[in-house]
Amino acid sequence: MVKLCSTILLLLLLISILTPYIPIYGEISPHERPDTASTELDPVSLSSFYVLLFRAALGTENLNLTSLTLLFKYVGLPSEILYIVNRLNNLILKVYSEINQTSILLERAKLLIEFKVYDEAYEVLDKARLHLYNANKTSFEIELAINELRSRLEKYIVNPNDPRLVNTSEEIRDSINRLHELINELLNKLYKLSYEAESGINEQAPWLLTTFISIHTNVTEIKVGRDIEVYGQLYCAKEPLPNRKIDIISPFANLSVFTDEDGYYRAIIHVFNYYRPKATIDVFYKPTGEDRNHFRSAHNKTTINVLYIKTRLIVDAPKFVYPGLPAYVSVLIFPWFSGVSRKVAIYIDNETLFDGYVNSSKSSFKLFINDTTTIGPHVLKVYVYPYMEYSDAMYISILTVTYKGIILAVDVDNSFVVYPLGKFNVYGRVMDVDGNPLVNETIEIKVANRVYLLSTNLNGEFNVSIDAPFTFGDCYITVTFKPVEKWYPIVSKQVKVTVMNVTSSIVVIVFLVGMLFFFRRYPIRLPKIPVQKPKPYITYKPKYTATTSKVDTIKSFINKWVIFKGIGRIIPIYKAVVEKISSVVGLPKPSDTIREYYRRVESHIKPVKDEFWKLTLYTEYELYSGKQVKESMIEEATKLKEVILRVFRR
Amino acid sequence: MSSEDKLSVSKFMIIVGVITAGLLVLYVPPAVDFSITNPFWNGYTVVSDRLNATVIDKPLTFPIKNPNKIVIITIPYSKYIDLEIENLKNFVKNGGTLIILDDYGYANQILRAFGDYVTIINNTMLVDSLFNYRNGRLPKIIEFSEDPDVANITQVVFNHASVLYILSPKVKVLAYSSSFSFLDDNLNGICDPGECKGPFPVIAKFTYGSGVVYVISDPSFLLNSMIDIGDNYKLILNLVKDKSVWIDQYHLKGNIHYQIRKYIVTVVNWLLHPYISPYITAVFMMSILIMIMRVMRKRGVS
Repeated sequence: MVKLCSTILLLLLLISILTPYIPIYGEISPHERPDTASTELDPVSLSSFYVLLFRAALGTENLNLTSLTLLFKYVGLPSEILYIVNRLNNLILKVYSEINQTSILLERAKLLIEFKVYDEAYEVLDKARLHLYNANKTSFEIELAINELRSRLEKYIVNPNDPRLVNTSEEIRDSINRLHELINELLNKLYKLSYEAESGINEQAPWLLTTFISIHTNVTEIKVGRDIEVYGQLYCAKEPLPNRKIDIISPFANLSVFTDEDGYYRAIIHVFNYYRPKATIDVFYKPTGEDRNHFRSAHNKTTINVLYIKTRLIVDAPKFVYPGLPAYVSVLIFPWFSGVSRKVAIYIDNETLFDGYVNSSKSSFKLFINDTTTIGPHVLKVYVYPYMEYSDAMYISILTVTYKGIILAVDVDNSFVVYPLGKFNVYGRVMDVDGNPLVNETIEIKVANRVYLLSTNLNGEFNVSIDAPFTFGDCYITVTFKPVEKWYPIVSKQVKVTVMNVTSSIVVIVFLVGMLFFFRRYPIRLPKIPVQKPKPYITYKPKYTATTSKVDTIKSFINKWVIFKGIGRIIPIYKAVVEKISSVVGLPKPSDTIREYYRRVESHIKPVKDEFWKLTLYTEYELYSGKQVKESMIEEATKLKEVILRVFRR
Repeated sequence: MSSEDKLSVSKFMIIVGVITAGLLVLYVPPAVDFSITNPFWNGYTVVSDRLNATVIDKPLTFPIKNPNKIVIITIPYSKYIDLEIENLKNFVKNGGTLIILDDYGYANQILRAFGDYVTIINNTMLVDSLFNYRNGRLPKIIEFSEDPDVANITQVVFNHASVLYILSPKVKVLAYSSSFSFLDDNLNGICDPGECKGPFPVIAKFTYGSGVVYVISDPSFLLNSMIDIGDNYKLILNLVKDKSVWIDQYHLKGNIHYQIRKYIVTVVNWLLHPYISPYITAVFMMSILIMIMRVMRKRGVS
C-alpha cells in the first residue's frame, strides 16, 4: 500500500515536471531553445540576397549597395560561411568603388581632351587604368569567391534542382557576365581616350609655347544660392595673353570669358542646385585661330567648400491603403525657414499623385488611390525639391494596397426544413471593421442551383425567405458579399440547413415496397450450381472398407477420427457437415487436424468455404479452448450447417 | 514486527511521503512556459525581475486603480471571461497600456472586443530564411517604423512567431518582418509555392479611449533565454516606459505540477496569514503537549 502510494506520488511528480516539454498547445511548438537551436542556412535566400547586391552594384536597380551590405550583420550565417561571405561582400564593394572611380576619371579625361589638355588627360587616364585594372582583378576574385561560397553551401542544399536555386544561380552568373561586360566597356572607352590623348600629344608641334593659367576665387567657402567670383591670369613665358577665350567649367555653370589687356579674366558664377561639400572649378585655355600655331592649351582648377543646409524629411504614411479610397500622408520638412514655399512631389510607382508647393513645415496630403490599383506592394516616393541653400530630400517606402476589412454575419432562422412546403430565412448584416453598416450593397445567396440577389438596408442588414431546396440532408447556402466599392473584398460565408425531403422519401419508400412485393411474387431463382465431380485429393485409401453402405463407412470413419476426443455441442454439427462434405469430396486422413482438413477441401467447396471455415473455427474453439461455448455460437454453427447442407443438397 | 507496528510504520511512511512530495512540488520550480516562477530557459523570471513586475494570478475582474500608470502584459493562452474583457477595455479606455503577446491567435478574442482592428494569424509560423538567429524559425525583425516606441531598436529576435493581419487603418504597425520572410503553413522550413511571402506586420499598436494596446505576434521574445538577444529587452522597456508592470500569469496554460504548486502556495500563504498563524501554532503546541502527557501517563508518572 505504502509502496504503491509512494510510486504513484513520484510518478505524478515526474509526469508533471516533464509535461511542459510535451507540446500541448497545438501543432506548432511555441518556441525552441535559442542557445541549442540548430544552425540552418537557406542557400536560396542567400543567393537571392546576392542577386539584389549585384543589381545594386551594377546600377540595374535603385538600391543602395552600402546599406544593403550593412544588412549582412543581421543574416544568420554559420561560422564556416561567415569568412567567405565577408570576403565576397568586401570584394563586391571594392569592385563597385573601382568602377565608379574609373567612370569619374574617364569623364574628367574626356573633358581635358576636349580642351586639348592632353598631358593632364594622359595622367588622369593613367589613374583610371589603375582603377580599372583593380576592378578587373577584383571581378575575377569575386568569381573565385562565389565558387568557394557555392561549394561551402552544397551541404545546406536540400534539392539542387530547386527552380528558385537554379534561377538565382543563373542570375548571379548573368550579373558576373554583366560586370565583365561593364569592365570591357570602360576598357574600350579608356583605350579610345588614351588614343585621343596620345594622338593629341603627338600632333602638337614641338615648337608650340606652353601657356599657363591661374585660378582664384574670392572666397574658399560659398553658400548655395550666393555668387562666387572666379578670376585669374593667362600668360605665356611671363607675358600675359590678352583677349583670349577662357572656358570655366563648374558643377553650377559652364561659361566662357575673355582675358583683358593684362591677360586677366574674371567671372561671377551663381552657385545653385549643388548640395555636396566640395566643388571643383576648372578653367581651360584652348588656343583658337592663329594661336593654334603658337600656343599649347592650358588648364588649372580649384576646389571650394560648398555650404548648404541638408533638408530632412519625415513622412508618416499608412502602410496599408485601399483602392478607390483616399490615403492621408503627412510630410514634415525641416529645418524650415518661415515665409518660404517648398515644392513637393509625391509619386506612387512613378505616377505623380501630387506636385506642388507647401507653405509650412508640416503638411498633410489627401492622396486618391486609383480604384484600378492592383492589390499588393507599391513604391511611395516623396521628393522635396531644393530651395536656395536647402538641399533636396527623398523618401521611399513600400505602400501596400489591400482590401478594407469587413464583417459579414450570416445566419438562418431554421436549420431544419421540410421539402416541399418548408421555408427558412437567411439573414445577416455587413459592417466595416469600425462597425459602420454597409448600405445598399449586393448580397448574393446561392442555394443548390438557385441564386438570389439582395441589397442591404440602411442598417447593413439583409433578409430573404427561401423555399426548401430539392435536396436531401445537409445543404450549404453560400452568401457572398459583392461590393460596389473596390476597397472592399468579395467575402463569402456558408451556412448549413438540413433538408428533410418528403417527396423523395415517399418515392423511395414506394419503390422499396414495390420491390418487396415484386420479389415476394417473383422470387429470384438462383441458377443451379452444376454438380462438379470433385477431384480426388488424396491417394490415401482408408483401411476401413465399406461394409453396408457408403454413408455408414464415412460415419464410422469420422467417429473414429482421432481428433474427436469428446462430445460437445458444436462437434456433432461439425461431424454432420463433414459427413456430407466427405461424401462428395473425400475422407480426411486419420492424422489430419480439422484445420488441415479444411485446407484440403477448401478449393472444392468454394460456394460454402467461408461458412465451413467459420464452423471449423467454432469446432476448434470447443475442442481446444477448454471453455464453455456460448449459445450464440451454437446457433451460428447450426445456421452454418444449414447453409452448407442446403448447397450440398442442390 | 507486530501488525500494530507495521500499521504505524505505514502511517509514518505515508506522512513522510506526502511531506516530501509537498516539499518537492513547492521547491522544484515548475517548467511552465512564460511562467515568472520558471527560472529555466523558457521562463519569464528575468523579465519579471528586471521590470519589477507585479503578478496577476487571478481573474482580471478586480477594479484597476490609476490605469494610466500601469502596463498589463498578457499572454492569453486560455480564454478570458466576458467580465475580464470588459474590465480590460475599461482599463485601456481610462489610459492604461495593454501589451498582448500571442503567437496562436488566442488573443483574437480580446482583439475582437477592442474593435477587431488587428488579428493574430494562427496555425502558421513566421520563418525568415535569411535574417535570422541560427535558423529561420528564430527570425530577426529589422524593419521598424518611424515611431518613438521603436526609435532606438535595430533588431528584435522572435522565436516561432506568428504575424498580424491589420484590419483597420487605425492600427499603426511598428515593425515588419523582412521581405525574405514567409508563412510556413506546412512547417517544412521551405517557402513552398502558395505560401505567403513577407514583409508581414509583427508589432502593432492602436489607441482605445485614452489608452493604448500593443499587439506583438510572439510572446517568446521575452523568455529568459531570449531577452538578451538583439534589442528584445530594449523593446519591452520602450513599450512599458516608466509605468508599473503587471504580468498576467492566470491565463497561461500550466501543467499539473504548476497547478498543485499553486494550490500548496495558496494554502501555505493562508496558513501563514497573521490572523491564522497564531491559532495554527497554538494547535501545534497543544498536540505536542498532549503527546508528551500521553507518554508520561504510559510511563506511570502522575
